[in-house]
Amino acid sequence: MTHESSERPNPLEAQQALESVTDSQRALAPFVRSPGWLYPAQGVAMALFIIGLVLFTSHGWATLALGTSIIIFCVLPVLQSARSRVIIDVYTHSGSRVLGLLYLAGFAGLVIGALVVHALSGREWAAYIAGLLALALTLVCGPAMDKKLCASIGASH
Amino acid sequence: MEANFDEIIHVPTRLRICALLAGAGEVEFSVIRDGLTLSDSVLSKHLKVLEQAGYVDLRKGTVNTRTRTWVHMTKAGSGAFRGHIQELRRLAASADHLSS
Repeated sequence: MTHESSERPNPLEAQQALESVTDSQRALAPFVRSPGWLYPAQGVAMALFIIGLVLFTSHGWATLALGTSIIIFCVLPVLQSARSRVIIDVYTHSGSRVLGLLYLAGFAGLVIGALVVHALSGREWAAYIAGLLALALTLVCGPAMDKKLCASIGASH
Repeated sequence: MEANFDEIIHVPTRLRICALLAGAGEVEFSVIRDGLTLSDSVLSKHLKVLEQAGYVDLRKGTVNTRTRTWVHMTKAGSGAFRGHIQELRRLAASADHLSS
């Protein structure tokens, strides 16, 4: 496989070509890394989203929190695509999809839980606790998804 | 996906470039160059061929006043690559049939 020929390969050459494909896919693994600010910023946005949504009807500033979170959600992908060397969607890539879905389900659970507790008891701390848990969840799951993705690419076969 | 030998993709360097791109959304030029140990000129030449075939798209951006190029595979490129891999697997499997 040292020459740059595109002739139809024999079985042995086809096998060698497939091996070079595997090696090339693995070569991407060392470069897969999200910017350090991504998950902290995403976690803050998620916390603001929960607090803003749950306290939307009881505090005027909650609208501001909700709006800020939505702006961060819109800006993050743009910043990420401009700053990252490799852009891979951790939520859809087969290597990290399961953990990504669990993370999103956890976030949805926190949102629903905070809304229900607040609606039933009127306690505002439910929003703050859920916001803090969303931040912690993002700080734990974000790097874990990156790690899973990296391991999956590094183990390509 | 139908197995289909693709002469544009099968050139070894382009096959490696496509393999690297197929697993990612967008990859910066320098990552492909460093990951596959290619020179700038060789990589540019092969990317141009793939771009002309409609298999990859190039996007330029500026980071800290430096111009960077990101490359991603198009839908046509992904389809052609998958078809080509299928064909390579078929060819490689035929060796097993012959030897057994």
